[in-house]
Amino acid sequence: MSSPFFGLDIGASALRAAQQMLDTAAHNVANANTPGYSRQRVTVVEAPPYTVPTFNRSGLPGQIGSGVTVQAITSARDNFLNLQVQAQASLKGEWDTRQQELAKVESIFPEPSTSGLGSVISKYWSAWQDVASDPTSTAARTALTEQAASLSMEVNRDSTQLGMIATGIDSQVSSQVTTVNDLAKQIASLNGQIQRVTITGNQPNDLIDQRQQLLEQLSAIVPANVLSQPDGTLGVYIGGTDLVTNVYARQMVAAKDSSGHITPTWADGSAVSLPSGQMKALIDVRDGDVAGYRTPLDALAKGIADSTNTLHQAGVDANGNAGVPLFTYLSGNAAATLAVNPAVAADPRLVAASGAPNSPGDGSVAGLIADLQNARSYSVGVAGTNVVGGMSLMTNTTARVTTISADTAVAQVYTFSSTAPNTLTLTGADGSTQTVNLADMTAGATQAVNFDQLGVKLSVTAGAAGKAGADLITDFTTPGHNTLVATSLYTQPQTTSDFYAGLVGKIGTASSQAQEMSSNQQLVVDQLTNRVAEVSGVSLDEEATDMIRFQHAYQAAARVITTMDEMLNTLINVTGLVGRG
Amino acid sequence: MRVTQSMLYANANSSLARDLTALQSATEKVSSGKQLNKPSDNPADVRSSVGMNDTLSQLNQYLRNIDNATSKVGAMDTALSSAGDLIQRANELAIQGANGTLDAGQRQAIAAEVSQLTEAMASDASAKVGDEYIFSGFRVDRAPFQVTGPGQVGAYQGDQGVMIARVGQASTMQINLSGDAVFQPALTALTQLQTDLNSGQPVQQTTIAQISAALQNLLQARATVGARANRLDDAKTSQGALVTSNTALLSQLEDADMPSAITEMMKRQTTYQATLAVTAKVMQTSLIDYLR
Repeated sequence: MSSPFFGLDIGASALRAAQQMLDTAAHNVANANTPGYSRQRVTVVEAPPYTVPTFNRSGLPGQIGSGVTVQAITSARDNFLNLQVQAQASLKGEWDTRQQELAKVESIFPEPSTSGLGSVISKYWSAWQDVASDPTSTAARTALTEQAASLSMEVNRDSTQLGMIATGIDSQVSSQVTTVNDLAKQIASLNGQIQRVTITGNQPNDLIDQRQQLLEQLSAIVPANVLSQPDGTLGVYIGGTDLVTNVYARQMVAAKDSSGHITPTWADGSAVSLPSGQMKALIDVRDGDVAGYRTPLDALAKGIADSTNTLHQAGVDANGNAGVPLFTYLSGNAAATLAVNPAVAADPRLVAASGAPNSPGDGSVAGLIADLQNARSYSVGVAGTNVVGGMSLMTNTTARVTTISADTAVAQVYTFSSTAPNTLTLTGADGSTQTVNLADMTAGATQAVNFDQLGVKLSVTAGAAGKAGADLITDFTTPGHNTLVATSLYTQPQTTSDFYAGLVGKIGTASSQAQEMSSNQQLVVDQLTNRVAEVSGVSLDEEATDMIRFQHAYQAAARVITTMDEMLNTLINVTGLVGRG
Repeated sequence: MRVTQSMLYANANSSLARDLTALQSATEKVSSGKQLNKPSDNPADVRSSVGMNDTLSQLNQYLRNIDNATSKVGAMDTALSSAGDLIQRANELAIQGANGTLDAGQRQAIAAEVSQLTEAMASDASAKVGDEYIFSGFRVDRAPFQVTGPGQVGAYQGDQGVMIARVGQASTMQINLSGDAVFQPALTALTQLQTDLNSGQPVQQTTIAQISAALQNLLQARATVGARANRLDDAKTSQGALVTSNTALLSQLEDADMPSAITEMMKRQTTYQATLAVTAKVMQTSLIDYLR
């Protein structure tokens, strides 16, 4: 037979359970909008039944229910979904960042427009035509130097803006390195707390939610792979290197690379491998796209400046003197440093429009320069770099019309040979030849080897030891090295406008692809986020019904205790009063 | 499927963002009137458009070159026409002077008029466009012939420079005529006529022949100039047609089709408003609103 107080205990356990369940509902409601929160549920089980000790079975039941026990508080979580969210967050981070950065690049080249570089180039060539038709007009000459100045300024601006994007990316990368380090430390510290709770057999629900949230933030920046340990800790790996192990976090360092850009490395100096994520997108845009747009911009600036200068210097100015270069620039950084020769800018009489002295009405040279607008340049390169021992042959873009072939791109094979000491002969595909003399070179020196008639311009750089001209000849004419095949690098001849249009097209294509990928990735992430919300999200309707349910349970349990109380009152205060009057 | 409040909010946010982005790009098309606003809108079309803008700028430049050349050719025509009248008058005077019945005084009077004609001829040869003498070749800073005394004209001061106008892609034409070729024979003939008249003898037949040859020469020059003016006219017409067709092509490439752009914008706007209305309805209610 059980004690008369037994029922009070059962009532109390019911009160405790109902209260716990209400508390958890309150916790759920409180965290309904907490990012990363997974709804929690109280798991209740029947308390161990009470077996009445007896030697012989009487009519009593063998086991008596003893109430309810709160067994655990669990959270609703799908680990597989969480891994997917992390992986997609990396991809979304990558495409979002790429799209944002490329949109900045695109805004530098606002084509089609009547003010972009494209129209400035057209106006520049037009200004030469005006000088050609009216060479004595000071207005036309001044308009030309102004137009040349705005061409320079526009090219400078575009190049500088591209440089600023690269610099901006540098500072973003370095702040992301700090963020990654912070996140790694926080994850490691949470690992420690989770470990301590787990080994006592409890569920660190909220701590796991927080850690998951940090992992998602981390994944957007760098792709994080995770490995769960039995003690509840999580190993985090970036490109195969452990970022977090147990309670220890490895640190990333923002280091300057050889080109002066910020690149993430591990504290021990080894490289960080980044298959996806925001950081990868930043580095890709900076080192791939932006650098890839600066090169053609330099080539364009150099092409216009060189071709104009060559003709301009062959002309005669209004004072009867030979023309001076119209443009100046620093080689290696042509777009950023292109400028109009200050002497010409100050005195438009120095524009060399004529072919001979004392011919003020002669605009023939100006006409020739204007014709460059439709001249097609050939980009000739060498298949493979360093094909000639100890030297590097570089691609050169020249804006001049040559006789290599008509407007068709075909493989051109040129052969080097030597006919005299220091004389290098280049034989073109059609059998035409041209010779140049190769000078001796000091260590690290560079000399241009121009086979102008064949449209081939090479730049030869001597190694650390320097090179005698005769040795250079040997290098060029060594069997196996002496054939210059310009196949894949030989591009369709293009005008300055074609060239610029190609650059704009390339930028547009990259940006439009990034936009598309970014919005696709957004859909994927939205879908996954919905599925996570489906599993782990708090439904206020659900919690409202639960609250009513638990409130009723609590009220009923309280009523049980009241009833027990009345029973005991009857037993203690009312029982045994028979006959007392 | 379990639906939670956070899903509703997230879905509402992403739908609204999507709708608003679409509305914004539709609005941009309508307000700019362009379907190409940045390179990524359609990289291939933007690429062609950059090329076509260059072509169009060239075509417009050719039109400017043609106008410039036309004004020079027009000035040359005026000068040659006036010179033709002068030499015509000289021809009449020469024939008059060849009449044996005239006395020396009458011939002197004729000679005085011829002297005026000579100076007028030199002045015609000094025709200018702006500050440039057009009959001096490249020496546009010097008059081709200078009057050195009454009825006296110096030697040709210009050169044989040929001015070329670019009137189309790969299409050029010569504009100027050298004063040497056009005016020299006339001036020589006029000088000879003065000499003949001043000599007191009737004007020689050779001089008359010389004058009519000079007249022929001037007429031929005028015909040449007329032909050039025609060619410039033709070039202007054809370049103008090219400008029109290229502008149309460019507009097809760049400009938004307004009716469809506006329809698109209205459609986007309706979608956006519908999303707003639905979102507002759904987000207002939960079970809490009905529990009392």
